[in-house]
Amino acid sequence: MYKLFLALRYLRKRKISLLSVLGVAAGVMTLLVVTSIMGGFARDLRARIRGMTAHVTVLNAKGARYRMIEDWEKLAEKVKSLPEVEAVAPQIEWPIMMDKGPKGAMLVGILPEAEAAVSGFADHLLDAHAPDFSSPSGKALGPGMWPAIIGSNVLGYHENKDVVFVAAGPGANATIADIVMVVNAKDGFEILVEGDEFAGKLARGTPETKAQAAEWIRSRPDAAPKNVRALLNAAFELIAYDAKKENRLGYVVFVSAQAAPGDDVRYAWQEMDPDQRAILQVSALGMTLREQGREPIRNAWVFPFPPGADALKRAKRDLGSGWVDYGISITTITPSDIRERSGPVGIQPTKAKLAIVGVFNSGMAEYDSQIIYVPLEAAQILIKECRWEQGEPVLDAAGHVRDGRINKLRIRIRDYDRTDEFRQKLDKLLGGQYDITTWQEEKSILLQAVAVERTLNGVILFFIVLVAAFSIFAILTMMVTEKTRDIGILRALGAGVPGIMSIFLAEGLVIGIVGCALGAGSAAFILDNLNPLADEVYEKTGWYPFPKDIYLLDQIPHQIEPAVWALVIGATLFVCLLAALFPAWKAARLVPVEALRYE
Amino acid sequence: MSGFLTARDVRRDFQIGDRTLSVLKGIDLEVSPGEVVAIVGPSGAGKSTLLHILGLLDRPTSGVVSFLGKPYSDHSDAERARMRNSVFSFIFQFYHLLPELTALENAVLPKMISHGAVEWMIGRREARRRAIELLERMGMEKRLKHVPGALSGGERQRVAIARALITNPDIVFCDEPTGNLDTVTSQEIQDLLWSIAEERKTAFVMVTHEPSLAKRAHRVVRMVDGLIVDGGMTARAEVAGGGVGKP
Ligand SMILES: Nc1ncnc2c1ncn2[C@@H]1O[C@H](COP(=O)(O)OP(=O)(O)OP(=O)(O)O)[C@@H](O)[C@H]1O
Ligand SMILES: [Mg+2]
Repeated sequence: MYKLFLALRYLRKRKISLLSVLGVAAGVMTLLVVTSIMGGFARDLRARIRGMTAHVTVLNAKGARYRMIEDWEKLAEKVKSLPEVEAVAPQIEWPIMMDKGPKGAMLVGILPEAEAAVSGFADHLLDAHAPDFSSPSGKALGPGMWPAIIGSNVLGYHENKDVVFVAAGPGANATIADIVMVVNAKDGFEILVEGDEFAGKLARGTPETKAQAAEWIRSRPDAAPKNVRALLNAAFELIAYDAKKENRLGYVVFVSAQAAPGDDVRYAWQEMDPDQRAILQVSALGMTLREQGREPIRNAWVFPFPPGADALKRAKRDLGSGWVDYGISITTITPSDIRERSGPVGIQPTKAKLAIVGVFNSGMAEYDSQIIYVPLEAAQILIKECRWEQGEPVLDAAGHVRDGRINKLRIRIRDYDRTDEFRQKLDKLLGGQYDITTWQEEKSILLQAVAVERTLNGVILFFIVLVAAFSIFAILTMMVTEKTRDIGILRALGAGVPGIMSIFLAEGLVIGIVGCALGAGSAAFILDNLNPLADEVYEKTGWYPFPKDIYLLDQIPHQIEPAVWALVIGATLFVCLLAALFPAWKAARLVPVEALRYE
Repeated sequence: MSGFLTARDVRRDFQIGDRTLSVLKGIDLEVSPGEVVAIVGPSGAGKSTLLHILGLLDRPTSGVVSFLGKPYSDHSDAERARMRNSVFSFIFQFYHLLPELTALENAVLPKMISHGAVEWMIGRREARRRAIELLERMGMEKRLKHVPGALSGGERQRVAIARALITNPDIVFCDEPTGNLDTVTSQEIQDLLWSIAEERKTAFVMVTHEPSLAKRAHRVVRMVDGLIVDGGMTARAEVAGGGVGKP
């Protein structure tokens, strides 16, 4: 009993042991926070990979890269006969060149509804329109044009360093009446004033601050005084960055109908309805509304546009109709051309025009900068993978292609962690004729890298704990020397060797336990308030601890894994005990008489 | 070999470099229950060394020490610790209280050491009551919550005495218990020790330089240069034929 009593008493009388406690706490806290964030990141990453990738994909016939899957409906039926299968979707995937650029991209033909059943396709669409390739403006497509849903980076978001965010339509419930837009990194920036009241006012310049912006707007001859005043008094700002967040491009000034004159800019921002704020943040940071964990906003008055200066101009022009149809031209070489390497004039590239009817943002840069979705039949016609006669696709009575082929059959299964099992089963069912991949393989290197980095971080951060343990070692060693006489007294009073040892072990353990409790407590608090805290840091210092565009997440993720926490705390306690072991052993080794003689 | 506390031909050598220093050169000593034995002798005679060996704080180089006929060397470490705790007690010249604990906590410490956590839950109250009783008996009722640093030498020694008595030991070893005190306080402590010895019939083995204290003992053992020159055996032992300490 005296062991714990004395251990606690000694610790309480020595303020320096607080240092060890804080050291342990700091180490445990950092470890837990970092590993939990990385765990969350890995989890989200996996989820996102799963979101874009089907759980399991049947590819073309083994070894034949350009040979498509014929009669895929039959194959789909066969696959569906397996009880694990929840949904299947055909896909045709083919590389193309965009004529502007020139830049490569991936044409992906899908059946939207089927695709939505196997992947997170529908969740990543930036707008609220149904993913059916219909133009929200209701405009008919021009001849030879196909509707397309493109990745948010396909049009060279990064290359142009243009940021284009938001425009407010004349929606009935719009509280942000008018919008000012920004931006071109290369030659200053551009502010576009859109909306009912300020329609058409456009100006150029390089103001650094809002005050300068205001002065500058005031100096514009075409800005009506009334409007400008309204703009200045009821404005709040948002800093716009380029896509990589490296360069500050300028300020996005929003004008709120609710903001009273004289409102402080930040106050107005803080006071905003959280939903509005979220929308603006989403817009400003180019994120999807769904990542905010919200329902898609229908009849929204915030329309995201495909980024790019051209798109902006079109957006301006088409704002009235509430949508943009923006065309891109593409060129490709069909698989049959490659297969046959034929034709009297060699390989003839095929050209086509696509009308952008939607944008998606999956958060995976690779997809967002590559993928152009078109309807499956459009893709089959574009790359001539259907019945083809006399230079024309053969259509049936309903206007559908015949004998359309695909090169991917995407499968969603019940338990996405048991893909390997399923793959074997499927391979047997299909007689080993097809290549089959799983979602884990798709990004296995990335997932491994994250896992390795997490472990590495854990090991590095554990050094903080080790330093703290070293301080325990130092303090206890000092204490043993200092307490030599007292140890002799305790021995004379009948304390045994194990008893003396346990006093010092208990001290190490108590420091460890208190440190762990403090560390785990503050880690839990930090993780719980991660995003508000990060915002706070950003507001105070201008430095964002978690660059959203690197991680492509609007929220810092985290995942509290009991096993990881137990491991961290267990290892810490073990190390603390280990640090106390030598001093304890030294104390126990003291010969009572000599200890008593010690002055 | 029977008897209460017996030492037979106890030797203790210290190795200093390559020289061997013989501090105890063959001690024969017996102590009977309830007997108060004073050990006197010049400084460096080996009195403290002998006391430590008798009190299980040190081991003899050779020779046998036994308690109730059982040689110490038969005891395990744990058993020795247990005996130090409950059979023997020590009172030191320099008090040797734990500076972090209050007078009361110092006094109950031996009880705390002998009790496990659960036992302590049960026995705590009783141990504290006993310690308070003892401290009151020493006139320390107003000093229970003082730490040793806030007590005078005499008061510290009273706490040490209370600590020595709380386990109801069979033998109390005192190493110059009044050596560090002024004459008046020394006298008070001497009186206290005497009255306790009378009251409780506890055996005392006390090393002292105070003639007044030695005079009151049942028996005075005189040590010179590692040997007992006078009074090593009780009367009974002498009659039984054990030689008086060697010349
Ligand atoms: N650990 C040790 N190593 C070496 N020599 C020792 C050790 N302990 C005691 N001695 C020596 O043994 C001798 C006797 O010491 P001890 O303390 O027993 O004497 P004492 O009779 O108690 O003297 P005093 O009356 O001054 O307290 C001394 O000469 C001392 O130097
Ligand atoms: Mg001495």
